[in-house]
Amino acid sequence: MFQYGFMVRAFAAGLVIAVTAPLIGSFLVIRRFSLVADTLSHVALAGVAIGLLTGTQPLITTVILTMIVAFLIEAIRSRGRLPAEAVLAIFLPGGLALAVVLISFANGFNAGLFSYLFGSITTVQPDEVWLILLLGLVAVVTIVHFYRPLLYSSFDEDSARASGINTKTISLVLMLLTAVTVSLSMRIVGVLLIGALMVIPVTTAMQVSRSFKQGIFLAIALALAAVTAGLVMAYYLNLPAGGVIVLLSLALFAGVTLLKQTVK
Amino acid sequence: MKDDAIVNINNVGFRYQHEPVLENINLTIKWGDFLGLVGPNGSGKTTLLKIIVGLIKPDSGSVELFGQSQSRFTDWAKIGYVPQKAALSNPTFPVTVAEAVGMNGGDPETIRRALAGVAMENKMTQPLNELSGGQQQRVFIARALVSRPQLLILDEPTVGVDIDSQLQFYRLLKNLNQKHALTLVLVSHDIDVVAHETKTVACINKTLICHGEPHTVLRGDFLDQLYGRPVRLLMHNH
Ligand SMILES: Nc1ncnc2c1ncn2[C@@H]1O[C@H](COP(=O)(O)OP(=O)(O)O)[C@@H](O)[C@H]1O
Ligand SMILES: [Mg+2]
Repeated sequence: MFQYGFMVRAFAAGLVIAVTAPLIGSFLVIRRFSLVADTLSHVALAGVAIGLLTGTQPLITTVILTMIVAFLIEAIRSRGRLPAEAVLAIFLPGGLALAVVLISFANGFNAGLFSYLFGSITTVQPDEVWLILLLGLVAVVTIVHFYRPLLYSSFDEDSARASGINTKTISLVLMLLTAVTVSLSMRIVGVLLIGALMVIPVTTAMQVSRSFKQGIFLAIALALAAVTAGLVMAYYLNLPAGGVIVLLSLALFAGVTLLKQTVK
Repeated sequence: MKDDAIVNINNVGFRYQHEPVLENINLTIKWGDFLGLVGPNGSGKTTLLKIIVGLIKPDSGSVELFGQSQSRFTDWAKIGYVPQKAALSNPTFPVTVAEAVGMNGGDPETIRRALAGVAMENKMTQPLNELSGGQQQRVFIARALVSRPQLLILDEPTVGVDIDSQLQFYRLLKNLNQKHALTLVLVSHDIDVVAHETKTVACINKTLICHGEPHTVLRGDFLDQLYGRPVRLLMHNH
């Protein structure tokens, strides 16, 4: 299957997603804020629509739009006047509504857009693959660089702040990285299913890991397994990649949960 | 400022909404002190600590840390802070003892030594949520100690800790205070324990009601004022 350029690109993009999604997702899950991924993915759809309407590379318009919204969510949330949940509940349908209206300008639902909803292996373009690799690299390097303050402020915000860490900046960095990850994942996994890939491998890994680092590496390993197997199955069985990848992640979750029950 | 002061609180007042929580607090904490801060629930103890460590800004008055105005103070490593209920807000958070301590920096050797200081070095790789409340508290103290602070601030560290572990815990604090010249501030609503274990006591209930050595300030009339009802203090000796 690697004789096809599109499959090579799908695997390159898939591997980037399998590393970045659980890496960022780990910090979202422990902050109990994983729904932000779903919110930003609905906003991402509006970003795609803007890209298609203006003839710009949709990945670029999506990264910009989701980062702006991530910034707004964090600005509103950190003021503490509204519950975080409520902030997300405003932006999620907001993103979707904007997308629907923009799509209507483009004379209805076109097939290009459909592939963004649920992901597709055949559509990753050569210029996109480089952009995905670059964004993934930025996300990983940033997390590695901010690892300690990120972990500290996720675990115990007051102590982290008292120790001199700028926890507001750290939260904002995490939000922006979530926007980046959502954007780079949408081609393969699809906007409606990215949230799942950022959360399911993490919750699976957290059940059995004894340290946070171990949890992150295990979550990445699980995501790599699901993405690799998912892409192969999508290719041979002609199935939508995002759906298969998420179903495989859920199967791993179920397997680990059952195993843990029986071992105990 | 007096040059033996590590913290100087001048006329501090604070309100969250309309009701003032703190009013006209003047308090100096001296180098080498072991200060017990007591007062009933809701009297503003946690709020005062948060003001000292810069988590909230006072509405009036000022705070000096290490002889410097708080707004210009940047050397937060000099102050260790263990908040109230530091014990795991999220118990599913998989994190080892060494990871929890390392959040505040420090290479593996520093982390090991900090844990040795609280007699927890044999638990380095253990998940934090498998430890008892008292053991977790000691881990959080080790975390505060890795930055080599000169002032350690503890907010109700012994809530939910059994009495034997509490005694052991106070022995540890006394040792840190005496042998390592660490200035300590400890909040507790257990006046009885504070009276026996600390060098000085400050009582607050919105305002500062008393401040001084335990036997001089923990008299019936102050306590009545503090709690708004008669309180009997058992001054037995351990
Ligand atoms: N975040 C907050 N918002 C509003 N009121 C608060 C907040 N935190 C504390 N309070 C109120 O301030 C008062 C003092 O609280 P606190 O400093 O926690 O007291 P203590 O630590 O002595 O029990 C209480 O009446 C409490 O209800
Ligand atoms: Mg309190």
